[in-house]
Amino acid sequence: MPTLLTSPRTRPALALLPAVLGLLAGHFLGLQPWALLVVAALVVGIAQQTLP
Amino acid sequence: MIIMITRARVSGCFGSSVVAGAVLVLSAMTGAALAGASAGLLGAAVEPSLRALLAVAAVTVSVAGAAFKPVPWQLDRETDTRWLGYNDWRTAAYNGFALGLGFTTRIGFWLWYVVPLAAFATADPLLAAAGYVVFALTRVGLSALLTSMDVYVSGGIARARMITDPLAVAALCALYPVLAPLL
Repeated sequence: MPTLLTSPRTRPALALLPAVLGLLAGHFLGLQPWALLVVAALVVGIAQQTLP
Repeated sequence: MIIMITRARVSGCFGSSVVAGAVLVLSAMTGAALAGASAGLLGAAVEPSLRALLAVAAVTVSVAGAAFKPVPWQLDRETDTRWLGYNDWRTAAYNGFALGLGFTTRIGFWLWYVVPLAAFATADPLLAAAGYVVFALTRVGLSALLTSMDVYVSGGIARARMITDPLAVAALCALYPVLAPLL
């Protein structure tokens, strides 16, 4: 799976689904920028614990 | 992180790693609040249509980047190693401040880009600062907590990207419906 995610051929195709889901979520759920900010801040802060 | 805290331990109250850890986290919160407030202030300073235009352009560039590159555009470096040589409060304070700002060191994940872009889109310095402080608390506070418990997370960055990359693209695209009506 990591290879699939780093391949320049498959990566854009794999990004399509989350892009569409994000658009739909933003449109139908009315997600506000501050909510996206807080969730992204939480998740990326946790993910950054894996940084070398 | 452990080096930052232990090197900050000198005489007086800095003999305590708890105090050094607190300085580290408070400095990170300060740096983050400043960065967030700046982004929010910048968003509030421009007309809504221009703000939306700038944000849509930045979001589009970020989505394209995330769709093609596994490693984000970043300053691929750690905090200045010379700061470790101070052996006093500055070691914790400088490192904390830099880590709180976020962009001056390695960010590692495309998802990080949602933070400044969403902060800009909120156009509210207080909300943006609060969101950035959440980032600092999670980034640095969690590191300090894990360090105090002798828990170290090494590697795993590729696995973490499997979650954060789709989330980054989704979160960035979720900004479009918010920004589009302002154009």
